[in-house]
Amino acid sequence: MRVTNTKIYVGALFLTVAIFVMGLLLGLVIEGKRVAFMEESDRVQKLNFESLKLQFLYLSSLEGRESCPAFSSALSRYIKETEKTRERLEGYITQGVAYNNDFLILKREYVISQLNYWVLSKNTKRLCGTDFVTVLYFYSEDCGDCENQGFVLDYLKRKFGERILIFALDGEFVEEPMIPFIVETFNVSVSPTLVVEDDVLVGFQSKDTLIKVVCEKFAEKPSDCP
Amino acid sequence: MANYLMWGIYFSSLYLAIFWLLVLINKYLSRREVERVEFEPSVSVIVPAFNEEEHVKECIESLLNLEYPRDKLEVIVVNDGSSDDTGKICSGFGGKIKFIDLKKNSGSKAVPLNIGLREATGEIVACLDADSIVLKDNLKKMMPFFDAEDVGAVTPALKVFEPKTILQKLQWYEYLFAILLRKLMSLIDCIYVTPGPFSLYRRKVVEELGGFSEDNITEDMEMALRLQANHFKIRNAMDAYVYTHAPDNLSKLYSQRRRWYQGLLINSRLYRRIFFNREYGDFSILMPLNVASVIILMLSTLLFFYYLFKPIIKFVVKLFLIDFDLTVYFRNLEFTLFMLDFNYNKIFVLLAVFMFGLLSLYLSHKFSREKIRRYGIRPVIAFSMFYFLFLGTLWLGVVSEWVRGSKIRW
Repeated sequence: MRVTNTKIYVGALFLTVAIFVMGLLLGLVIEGKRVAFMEESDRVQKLNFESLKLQFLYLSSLEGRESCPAFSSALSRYIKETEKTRERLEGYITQGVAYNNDFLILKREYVISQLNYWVLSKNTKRLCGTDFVTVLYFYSEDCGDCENQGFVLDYLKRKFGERILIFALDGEFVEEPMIPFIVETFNVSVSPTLVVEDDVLVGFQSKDTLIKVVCEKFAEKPSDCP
Repeated sequence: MANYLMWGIYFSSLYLAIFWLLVLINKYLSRREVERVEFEPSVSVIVPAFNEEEHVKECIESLLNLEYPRDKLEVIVVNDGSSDDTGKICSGFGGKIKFIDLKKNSGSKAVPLNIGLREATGEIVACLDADSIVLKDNLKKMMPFFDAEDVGAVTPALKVFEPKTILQKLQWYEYLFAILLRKLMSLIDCIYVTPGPFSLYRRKVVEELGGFSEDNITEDMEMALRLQANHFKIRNAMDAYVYTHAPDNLSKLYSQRRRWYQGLLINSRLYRRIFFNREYGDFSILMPLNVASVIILMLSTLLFFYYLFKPIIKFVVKLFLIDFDLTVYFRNLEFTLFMLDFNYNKIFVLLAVFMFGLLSLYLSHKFSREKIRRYGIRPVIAFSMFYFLFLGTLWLGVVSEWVRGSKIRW
C-alpha cells in the first residue's frame, strides 16, 4: 500500500480555513468601523439640518432677503453632502455581512433627512424665490436602468451645480413609513421614476429629455440650457 | 452567482498553494541527501529525429560530450523519415553513433523510440528529443537517483535554450517553475510526466511494460502513468539541466500546448482507475488534483475576463448616455479617497495572490539556481501579471476543441 500523507492534506485544509476565517473577521472589524463612521456622520448631518432649519426660521422672520443667496448655497451644499454619504451607505450595505440592522436604521435616518431637505427646499423657493429645480429620484435594488439613471443625474448635477437639487430615494424601502407615503403621493410604480418639481417622469430618462424638462422649470435659464 | 464561484475559486486556489507549501516545508526541508553511490551502468541514449536539421547536430554533439565511460555509452539516432537534411547530418557522425534511417515517417514519436529501444543494449535507456541539449555531467548527476530496484525512471530539470523572443522568455520562467513543482511532486512520489528530453529509464522495466504507447499523443506522460500504475518510483534530479528549444511564436506554441493539454485529458481518462484509489497513495489524490487545478485555472480566467469587461462595458454605455461630454467632470475636480470605502475582501485576496506569486518566483529561481533579473525585469513583470491568464486562455481553447471532438495528431 503506497503512502498517503493525509496530514498534509488535512493541514492544508486547516490553514486555508484559518486564513478564510481571519479574512472574515477582518471584514467584520471593518464593517463595525463603517457603522461607527456612519453613525457619526448621521449625528453631524442632523445637526447641520437643525442649524439650517434655525437659519430658515430666522430668515422668515426678517424683512429683507439679503441672506437668501448664502442660505441657498448652504442648503445646496448640505444636500450634496447628505447625498454623498447616502451613496456611501448604500455601498456599505451591499458589502455588509453582519451589521444589517444597524445599516437599516441608518438608512431610515438618511431617508428622513433627504425628505426634510426636500421640504425645506420647497419652502426656501417660496420664501427666497431662489431659482433652483428639485428632482426626486426613485430607485430600487433590482432595477436595470437605475445605475445609468443615477449616472445621468450625477452628470446633470455637475452641469447645473447649485441650480439643481437631487434627492435619491429607495422606492422599495418600506422600513421607513415616509417612503410608501410619498410613493403613493406621486403614484410611483416603476423604477426609475423622476419627479421634477411636480412633473412625474416614468422610466429611464435620457440626458437630453431631462435637460429639456429641467430647463423649462428654471425662471432664468442658465448658460448650459439649450 | 458569479460571486459564489469566485469565493470557491479563491478557496481552492489558496488550498492548492498552501498544500504545495506544506509539501515543501514537510518533505523538502527534511529530505535526505542522495548518496553519491558509484552506479555506472551501461546507458543507451535514443534520439528520435524528425526534420530537426537545425538542432540535431548540437544535440548529438552534446551527447558525445557526456562525461561517462566511452564503452558504457551508446547513442542511437532514429531518423523518422525526415524530408530535410536530418538524415545526412546524422550519417555524418559515422561510427560514433548507431544510426537507424527510417524511410517513411511513422506519425508518432513512440515508434522510433520503440525501434531504438529494440536496438538498445544499455541497462539504462535515455530518451532525448532531437531539439534538446544535455550538459556534460547530466548522467553523473542523475544516476545516483536509481537508488532502489523499484525506481523506474529519473527525470531531469528542463530549461529553455537561449530564449530570444518574448514568448520564449515567458516560457523560460514557466520552465523554472516546473523545475520547482517537479521536485515537490517527486517528494511525494507523484511525478506524472517523464519528459521527452532526457528522461532515464531502466530498460528492463520499460520492456516488461511493453515499450512506449504508439497511438498516444503524449507518450512521455503515458509512460510515466504506466510506471506509476505499476508502482514504480519516478525520481527527479533537480540539478541535471537539459536545455530544450521552446516554440518561438504563438501558433507553434499553441500546437505544442494543444498536444500537451489534450494529452493530459486523454491520459487522465485512460488511467482514471488511479483516481482516489487508496492503493496508489498520494498519487491517487494528485492526479485528480491536477485535473482540478486545470479546471480552476480555466474558471478563474473566465471570471477574470468577466469581472474585467463587465464594468468596462457598463462604463462605455454610461459615456454614451452623456454623449461623452467629459468637460463637466473637470469643472469641479474633487478626489476623495476614503479608507473605509475600499473593498477589503478583494484587497486581501489580491495581497495573497501577490505574496504567493512572489514566493513562487523566488523559490523557482532558487531551486533552478538562476537569477531573477537574468533576462531583465520587464519579462518578469509581464510573466507574473499575464502568464496565468495566458495559460488559462490556451487551456480554454484546447478544451473547447477537445469537446468539439477534433483529433490531435503529432
